[in-house]
Amino acid sequence: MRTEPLTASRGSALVLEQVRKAFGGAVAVDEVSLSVAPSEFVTLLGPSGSGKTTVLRMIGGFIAPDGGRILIDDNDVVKVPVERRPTAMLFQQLSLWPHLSVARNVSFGLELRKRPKTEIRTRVAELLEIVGLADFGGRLPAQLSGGQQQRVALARALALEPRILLLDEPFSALDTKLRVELRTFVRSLQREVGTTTILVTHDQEEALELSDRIAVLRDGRIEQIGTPGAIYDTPETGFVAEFLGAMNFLAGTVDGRLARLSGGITVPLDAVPTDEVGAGRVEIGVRPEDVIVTPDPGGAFVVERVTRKGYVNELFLRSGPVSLRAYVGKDLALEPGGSCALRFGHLHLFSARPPGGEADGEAPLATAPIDALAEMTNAREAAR
Amino acid sequence: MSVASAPLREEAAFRPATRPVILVVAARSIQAVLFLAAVFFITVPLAWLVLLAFAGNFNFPSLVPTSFTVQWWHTVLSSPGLLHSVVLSVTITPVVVALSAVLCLPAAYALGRFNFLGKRVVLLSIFSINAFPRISLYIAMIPMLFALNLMGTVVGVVIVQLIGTILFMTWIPATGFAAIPDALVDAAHDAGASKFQVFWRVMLPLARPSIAVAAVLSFLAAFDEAQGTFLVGAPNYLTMPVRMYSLVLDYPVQFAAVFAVVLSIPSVVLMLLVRKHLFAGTGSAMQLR
Repeated sequence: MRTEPLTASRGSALVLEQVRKAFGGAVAVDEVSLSVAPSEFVTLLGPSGSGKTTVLRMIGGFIAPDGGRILIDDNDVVKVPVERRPTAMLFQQLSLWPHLSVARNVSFGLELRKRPKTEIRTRVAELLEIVGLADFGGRLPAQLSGGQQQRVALARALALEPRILLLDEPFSALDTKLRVELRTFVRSLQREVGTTTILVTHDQEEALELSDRIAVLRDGRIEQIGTPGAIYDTPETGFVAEFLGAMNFLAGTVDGRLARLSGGITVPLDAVPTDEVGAGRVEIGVRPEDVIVTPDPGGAFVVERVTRKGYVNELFLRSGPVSLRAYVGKDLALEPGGSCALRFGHLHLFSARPPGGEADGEAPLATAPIDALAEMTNAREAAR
Repeated sequence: MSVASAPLREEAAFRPATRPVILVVAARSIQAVLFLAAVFFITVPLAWLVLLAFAGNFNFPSLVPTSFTVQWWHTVLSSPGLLHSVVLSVTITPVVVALSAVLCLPAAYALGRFNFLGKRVVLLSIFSINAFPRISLYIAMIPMLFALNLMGTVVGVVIVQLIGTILFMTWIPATGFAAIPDALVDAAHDAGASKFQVFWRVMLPLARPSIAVAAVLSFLAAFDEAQGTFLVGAPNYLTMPVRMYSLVLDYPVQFAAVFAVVLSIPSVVLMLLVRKHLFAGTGSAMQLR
């Protein structure tokens, strides 16, 4: 587990300090600490059950933490009820009030705050303009598409002028094209308005595209936090590596400057400081786009299957007991049954998984990834 | 950039499947037949009732009366105490419905939105009011009403009529409240609404269609209630149905028909009044289209 240093609290827009929550004995959030800078966009990424939504709902005030502190602009808000928290949430489900017009949906919070009517009117017009729905104020939510409804919900959230904007998988109810459109819109809007934003998602693309930083959650803990580039390029655990992007894991034994895989295959570890690993069992992690495939009739690997992914082809390769996936350019002439040789453009070394078990998040990882080969092939360029 | 992409939702899932024309035609025809059947079974008995109310001479093999008269109307409308009954019915029933709403809607809200210890017991006990012959309930109530000096009073009549509305006014709005998505409630709290404001501005409007249905059923239950009203209210407070029951046996069937028509008027008026609430609900529980 890696957490942020707690000293970062001053000047942070949002600070979580060892926040805990259990539901009937089942720990949902386990001592999560996090500090978010003003205007920062932080994504809580994780599978269902990782506690990410619980963290978000605790920040919003919908769930009370069992322990720990939540600070917004250096004020502890744990005791502040939802309706008085300086947060606004965009929900996963379509959540506009169906009996109120679009304009009334946006003005709801302002009306409750007893703002002057003229101010409300101009503010609503302004917000609907921002989300590109200026002419839709008089309509009922049912007359809008899902994407439009989510944009109204965004305007409604921004109307509250929140200190922290909370996004609870707000794009997941939309179809692919709309989802991409809306998240691009949200990103540019967030940059423009500068509202500190926390996004919860299980969608890695969303996380990579939107975030200043990503916190990968697993079993109620932050497993790794960092910029999208850092997390993608230097995952600290196998779990993070697999959750953000894809990764092949090859079990092997370190022997000097070589890793021996089963089936007599060896992987040179020239640039890896193997003394950090020590000798013994390791997991070699290779992202599919880092597998450099060269057609070679005498090559050790055989193509079992080719899946078209649109902009790349995914090859399923096998050599005896060792199998892995590679993303290659569409023009690479390799059909199922063809033989090839492999090189790895980039390696990650992880300590071995416990036998039969999944990668253990608690086990510290042996090394940082290194570039095993300096040169890049065309295949790898195409994959990127 | 990773290629193992996010789960992609198929676009096709959003398009309704196109069905063969023959099936569409068949479905439409069945719909039309059912609709006409419904119209027939609702309007014909009513029409027959109206016909009967104006019938002078109406004997068996003939399907329509052989002569018409307004005599029965005259008899009914000039019968002593009728005006009193009408005024009594038309004032007591709305009071009962309003009181029932005030007492039951908070309970319906709790039953629909929260899980609490004994919820099933509460639901069952409300249901059990309607699970036994009502007369036994009334008989059991009479000693209590005597003890409270409520026999033969308007308050006693209101209480006895209230009993019959409780099931409708709790169970139906409870399902309406339960069907409101949590996100709508959370969003209202998030926007700064207190618990009461959420109830008043979001829950109540969204549960409106179910409350309208409950109100109609409660109104009819209270308006038609005769057994308990007679036991508790007689001889001072005879509502329209009570008066009808006590006169029907002494007069020909046409007399009862006139009463039945008169008794139907408030129901029809009520239906017209709440129609838009029943059918115009936007995306909430009891939406009927």
